[in-house]
Amino acid sequence: MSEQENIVDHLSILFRNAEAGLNGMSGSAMHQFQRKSFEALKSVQFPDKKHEDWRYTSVQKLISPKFKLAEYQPTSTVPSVPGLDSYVIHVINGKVMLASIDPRLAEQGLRIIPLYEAFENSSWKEVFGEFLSSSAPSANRAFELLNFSFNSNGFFLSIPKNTKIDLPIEIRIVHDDPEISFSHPLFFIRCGIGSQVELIERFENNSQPKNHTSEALINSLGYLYLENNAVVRHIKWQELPSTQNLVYKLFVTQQRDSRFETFAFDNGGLLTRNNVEIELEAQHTYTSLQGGFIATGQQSMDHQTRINHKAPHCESHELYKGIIDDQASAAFNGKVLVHKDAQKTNAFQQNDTLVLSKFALMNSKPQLEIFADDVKCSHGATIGQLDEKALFYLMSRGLPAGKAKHMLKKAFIAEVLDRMPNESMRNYISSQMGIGE
Amino acid sequence: MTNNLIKIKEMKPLLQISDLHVSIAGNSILNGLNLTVNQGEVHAIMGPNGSGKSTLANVIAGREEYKIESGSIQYKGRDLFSMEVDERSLEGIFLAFQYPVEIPGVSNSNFLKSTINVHRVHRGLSELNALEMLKYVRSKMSSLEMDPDLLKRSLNDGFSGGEKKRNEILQMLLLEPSLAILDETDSGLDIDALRIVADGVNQLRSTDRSFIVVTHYQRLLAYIVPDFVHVLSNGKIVATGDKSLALKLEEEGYDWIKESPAVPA
Repeated sequence: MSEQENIVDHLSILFRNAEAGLNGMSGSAMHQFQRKSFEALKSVQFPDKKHEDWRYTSVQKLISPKFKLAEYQPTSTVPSVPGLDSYVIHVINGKVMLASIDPRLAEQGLRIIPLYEAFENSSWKEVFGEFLSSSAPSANRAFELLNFSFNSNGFFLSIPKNTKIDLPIEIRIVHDDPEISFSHPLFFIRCGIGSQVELIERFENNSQPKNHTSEALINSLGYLYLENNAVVRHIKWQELPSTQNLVYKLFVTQQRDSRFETFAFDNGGLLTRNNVEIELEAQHTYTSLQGGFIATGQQSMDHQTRINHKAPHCESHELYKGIIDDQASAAFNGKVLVHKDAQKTNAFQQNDTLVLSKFALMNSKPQLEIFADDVKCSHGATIGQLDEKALFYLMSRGLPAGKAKHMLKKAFIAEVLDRMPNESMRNYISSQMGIGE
Repeated sequence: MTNNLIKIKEMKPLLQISDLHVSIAGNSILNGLNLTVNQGEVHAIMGPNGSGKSTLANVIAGREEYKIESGSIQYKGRDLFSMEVDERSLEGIFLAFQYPVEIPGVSNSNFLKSTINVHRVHRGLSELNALEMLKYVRSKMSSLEMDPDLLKRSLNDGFSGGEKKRNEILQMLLLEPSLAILDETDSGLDIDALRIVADGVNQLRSTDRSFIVVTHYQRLLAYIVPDFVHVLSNGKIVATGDKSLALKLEEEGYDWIKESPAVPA
């Protein structure tokens, strides 16, 4: 039996045992959806390395036939970010913790709705129901289907028209089962016309490392729907224990005149696979994707981005910067698609990486596919070492080699990090990444 | 000249270069260079393009891409080649770069703070706090007529040629080295900037501090009056004299040097 069949067989048993209890009542709309998703997963299977988008990350390393669904162990904590006042939502082992949601959210008329309930909610159905039923299953979507199949208590949030949320919404995503296990966080957020929100996703776990000696997978999925003129600032920060793997996917749909800006910083975990997919559905949208990562030891960090310019007069910017050392590896695969009708598109993409060890490996593939004829697009990638001249300059002023290298690494990531408007998060991330003052 | 000779006997040598041979990528640049710099002396090194002036400056500072083929450098009685680049700096060697490196993302003020404090700690002094640091740096900046806004910028990033050179002299004033090497600090400076830079150097002149001034032109030496002028040609010192030698070079060029045998110092 192949590894692939082995995993699917194992998942089938797991699904049969769990399905009725994942999201309340058996036979509900959510349950039907989960069943359908699992059938689709079985039919498409997981991608292998022959699959173009999976050349640099092995599915076998992400998912094991020994996985069980993570169970709640109330041992994990995620510390607050100094100076950050936010509306905190805890998602533990994929389940939104309704009881611990910041009550101030409800006071603003914002209600976190569990998914099984959202499946009956017209606001959810209007945007996401249709979207989900229209996306065809494929091997590339295997982890989404896996998430849909096994999700338990995902959530939906609808931000009403013209609402400006005064504080960031902070989602703390924790996987706290010490045994070999996976969890499937899932959320849908609808950002109404003219609404403004800052969204922070933190993948962290502060518990003792001894509790996390077994491998684990967090298979996280998020959907953002930006209606006309909505403005969303998003931060993703990942510092998982070194045994945990993360498959992260964020789908963003942007309607006319909306703005979406994301900062993704990764420092922890063993294998991290980041996917960001942006659909630009209408004119005059603005999108900015930025990321920074430091991979050391045996870590692997794989970034996949796709921006789909379907409408004219849209602008997108991408800048990802990474530092890899030791035996670590990383990949960047950025795709910008400019459809035939997307005239006057401005799309810029850049990926820069410092490779500090001869055993470290970087694969970078910035891609542009342009079908319109009146556009401004550019893409580029650099892979290099620390600048020897700069290092000599700093050391010639008395700074020891370690300190001088540190300053140069910090400066390299700072080009991305310094753009982050949220000062508390910026300081927190730079100190956690070891590039603070 | 006589006075200087007497001084040499009295003073402790700070830097002694003996029969130094240096190459880069298989090309020999320095071919048996000898030079002794005593405490308190100012030595000017002149010479045509490609004679090895900048190589000498960079080798003393510890640039690694140069290969030391043979010879030795003693600094404060120690083997200079056994000292790392940062240690040389902490022990008082300062190179004002011909082309200061632009480092985007490293703020000038943080850089100056780190480097001043690392020197202070090495000298057994306490670190300066942010306020003390600002006062100290600002006072030196104003003596060089520098815009304080340069502190907020990234190190040398987008600085004009003159701003870069002043930033070098600023670091020299802040770090108070025992041996300062100015590598063509005058190139690209207008006459006002040149005067300001020279004033900066003259502020620091003292009996226990030495300078090596690498330059093409006599004009800087009108402001920084050297004790010795050496002419470097083909990787060797071929003539040594006092400040009048610089004037002679200015008038006659370097052609006469190439034909004449080495003049002992």
